[in-house]
Amino acid sequence: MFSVRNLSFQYPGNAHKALDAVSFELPAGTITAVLGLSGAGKTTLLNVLGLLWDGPVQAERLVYNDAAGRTYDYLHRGAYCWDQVRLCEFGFVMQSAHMLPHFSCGENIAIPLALQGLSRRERRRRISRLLHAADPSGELGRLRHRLAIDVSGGQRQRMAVLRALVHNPRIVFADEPLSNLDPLNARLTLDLLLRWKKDGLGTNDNNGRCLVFVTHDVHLSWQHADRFAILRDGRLDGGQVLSRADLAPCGGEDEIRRRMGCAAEEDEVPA
Amino acid sequence: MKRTRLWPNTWQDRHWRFGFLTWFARRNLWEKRFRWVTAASIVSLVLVVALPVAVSGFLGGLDGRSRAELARNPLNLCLWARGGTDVVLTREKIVEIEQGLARTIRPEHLKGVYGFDRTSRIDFKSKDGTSRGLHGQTALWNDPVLTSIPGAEGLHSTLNATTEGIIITRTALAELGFAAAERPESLRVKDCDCRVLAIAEHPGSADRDLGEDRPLLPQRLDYLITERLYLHLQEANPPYDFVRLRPIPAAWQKQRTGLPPAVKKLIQYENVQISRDPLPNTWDLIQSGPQPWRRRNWQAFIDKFVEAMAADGLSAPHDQPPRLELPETDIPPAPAYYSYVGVYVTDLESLAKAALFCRAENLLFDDEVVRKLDEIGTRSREILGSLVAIEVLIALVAGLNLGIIQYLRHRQRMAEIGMLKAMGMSRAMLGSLAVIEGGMLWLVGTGLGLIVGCVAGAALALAKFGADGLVGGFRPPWHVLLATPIVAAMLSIAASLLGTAGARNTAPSETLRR
Repeated sequence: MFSVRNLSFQYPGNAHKALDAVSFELPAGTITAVLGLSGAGKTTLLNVLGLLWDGPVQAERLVYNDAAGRTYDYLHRGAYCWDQVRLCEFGFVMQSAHMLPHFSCGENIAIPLALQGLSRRERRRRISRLLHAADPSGELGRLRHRLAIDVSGGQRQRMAVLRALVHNPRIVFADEPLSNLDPLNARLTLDLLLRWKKDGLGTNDNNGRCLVFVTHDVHLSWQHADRFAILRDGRLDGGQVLSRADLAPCGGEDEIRRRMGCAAEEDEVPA
Repeated sequence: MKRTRLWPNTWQDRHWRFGFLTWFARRNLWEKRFRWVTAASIVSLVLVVALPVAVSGFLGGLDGRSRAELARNPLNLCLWARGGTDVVLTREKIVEIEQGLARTIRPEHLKGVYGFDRTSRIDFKSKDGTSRGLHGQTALWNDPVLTSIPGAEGLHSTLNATTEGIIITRTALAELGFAAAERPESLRVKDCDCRVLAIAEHPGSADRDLGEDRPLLPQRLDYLITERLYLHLQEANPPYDFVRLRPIPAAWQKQRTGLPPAVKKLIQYENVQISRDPLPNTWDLIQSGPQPWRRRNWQAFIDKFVEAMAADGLSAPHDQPPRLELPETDIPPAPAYYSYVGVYVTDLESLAKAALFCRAENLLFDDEVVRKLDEIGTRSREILGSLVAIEVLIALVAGLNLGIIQYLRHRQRMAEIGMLKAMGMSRAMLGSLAVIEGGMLWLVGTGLGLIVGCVAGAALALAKFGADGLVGGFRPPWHVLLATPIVAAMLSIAASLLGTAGARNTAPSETLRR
C-alpha cells in the first residue's frame, strides 16, 4: 500500500530533521501503531503519508498504491489532484474532533459524501446505515440532528470517527484519537475504529482497509496493532516497521517501551 | 502539466459544486458565532453603497430645484449678451447637429450663411454621404429637439452652403405678416432676397411669447433672432399705418362715400378707412388693426379690394390700374427681446458652459452675473469635492473594516478550514466558497444600501429643497447606481478572498496544529 524508502523531512527554518531516512513497506489490511516519545516525528510521519503537508519531502521512493492498482508518486506533487486522493482514499481522525459547530452532527458526517458529489438523499441513506451499524442502540442516531457544538466531547469524537469512515476510505489516519477522552468514550471510539477495520461497519467489502494510528499507549497498541512503527528522533527503531513476531520474543510491550526510550517502570505516558 | 483526476470535471460536477458551496456559505455566514460579524460586514457594504447614492440623490434634488426655478422664471438664470451675430447655436446644439449629419462640410462652405458665421469650427456632415464640392454643398438635417415634441413640425431644412440664408422663428414670421401655415421660401433682407433655411417652430413657446407683457424665450430653442437681423428684416419689410392708392379710376371717385356692400364689408372686416388725399386721384388707406400692416398685407388687401369693386361692375382700367404707394417711414425700434442674443440653459452645468462659450465668443454680458456664476461654480466644486472626498474616505474605511472582519473571521475558522482541506476540499473550492460568501454579503449589502441610499437621498432632497427637489422623481445618476455596486462587489469579494488566503495557502497540518 505504502512503499517508503529513505524518507527525510525537515520543517522550514528548523535545522533538526523531523524524519530521517525512514524506510518501510506498509501492506494492505493491517493495523499499524506509530509509537514514540513526544517530538519523535509520529505526527509528521502521519502528515506526510496523509498528504497533509504541502511542502516538498525528500525520499528515494514514496508511493501509494490504491485498490484499483494505480500508483501515486508523492515525489511528483504536481501530477495528481491530491485533494481527490485525500477525499477518496483517506480518512482522518485528529486529537480534537474539529467538527463544524454550526452544522448538525449528521451534516458534519456527510461532508466527505457531499464533497464527492452524492445527492442529499444518498447521503441521508448512507448516514442512516452508518449510524445504525456504528451504534445499533440508536444513541448516535439520536444525535444526528443536533448541532455539533451541543454534544459532548466524546460523542463529538465518535462523530468525527464516523466522518472519517463514511466514504469508506482505504486508510484511516488517526492521530492520538483517544488522548482527550475519558476511558469510557476512549473505549467506544476505539471500538468504532476497530469494527470499521474488521468489517467496514457493515459494508463487508474487502478493499484492504488499513488503520494507521498514533498513540502513546503501549498497552493499547500491543493489544490491537499488528505492525509497529517505533520512532526515535525521527528514525525508525530497527530501521523498519516491526511486526508482533519481531517484538513478542523480546517481551512485547516492554520491548516497545525499551525501543521508545522509556524506562519500563515509567509505564504509560499519560494520555 | 495536466493533473491526473479521479473523476472528470464535468458540467454536472460544477453545477453540484456551486449548489453545495452556496448552501455551505449560507450556513457559514449565519453561524451563531459570527452572526454579528456578518451583520457588521453588511453594514460596511451598506455604507459603501448608500452614501454615494444618497449624495447623488441630494445633488439631483439641487438640480431639480434649479430646473423648477428656471421653469418659473426663465429670465433669472439666463445669460444675455448684446447681439453680435445673427444666430447663436449653443454647444449642445452644435454637438447634436454634428452627430446627426453624415458628411463633412468644411467651415469655409458655411461662410456667409447666417447663423453659421460664428460657428466656423463645426464640421458639418451631410446625410447622403456624397461630396459635391465647394459650391452647391447641401446638408439635410432634422432638428432633434423640435422633432421630439409631439405635434411639432420640426425643422426640415436644406442648407445650401453657397446661398445666404436665415433661420427664423415662427413668432418673427407672424410679426412680419405671415400666416401660421405659411413657409416662405425667402425673405427680403436689406436689398436682396435671403433664403429661409429653417423655421423654428416651437408651439409650446412661440405661441406663448405672443401677447405677454414680458416676453419669454422659447425654452428649447437654441437659436434666436438678433437685433441686427431683425433690423434688416424690418428695413425690408416696414409696417405702414397708411398707404396711398392711385390713380383712382373716375368710376370709383363717385363711389367713395357709397361703396358697394361687398366692399364695405371688406373694409370693415379689415379695419380700413378710406379718406381723400390732397393729391388728385388719390385715396389714403388707413389701417387701425392691432398689428400694423406691411407691404405684402397692404398689397393683399388692395388685390381683394379691386376684385370686390370689379364684382360690382366697377372694374379698374387695364391700362392704368390703381397701384399701392408706400410712404416714407422710419424703422420702428426693435422690441426689447429682439435686442439680445439668448443662450438658453436649463441647469447650472449648462449655465457654466454657456458662460465659457460667451466668453470665448467675446460676447458681452453682465459682469455681476459672471461673478455670481464664478462664485456659484467655485462653491459648488468645493462642496462636491468635499463630499466626494468624504465618500471615498468612508468607502476606504468601510472596505478596510470589511477586510479586517473577514480576516479575523477566517482566522478563527482556521482549524475548520484545515479539516475541510484534510477531508478533500480543494483550494479552488475554498476560493469559490470565499467568493460566494463575499457575493452573498454583497447581494444583501448592496440591496439594502441602494434602498437606504435612495430613501435617504430622497428624504434629504425633500427636506432641503422641498417638492422641487423631487421634480421628475428621485433619479440618482445611472453611473453612480452602476459604479457603487461594482465597487462594493470588488471590496466584498476581495475582502473574502484575502481573508481566506492564509488558510487556503497553508498546509492542513499547519492549520490543524494552530
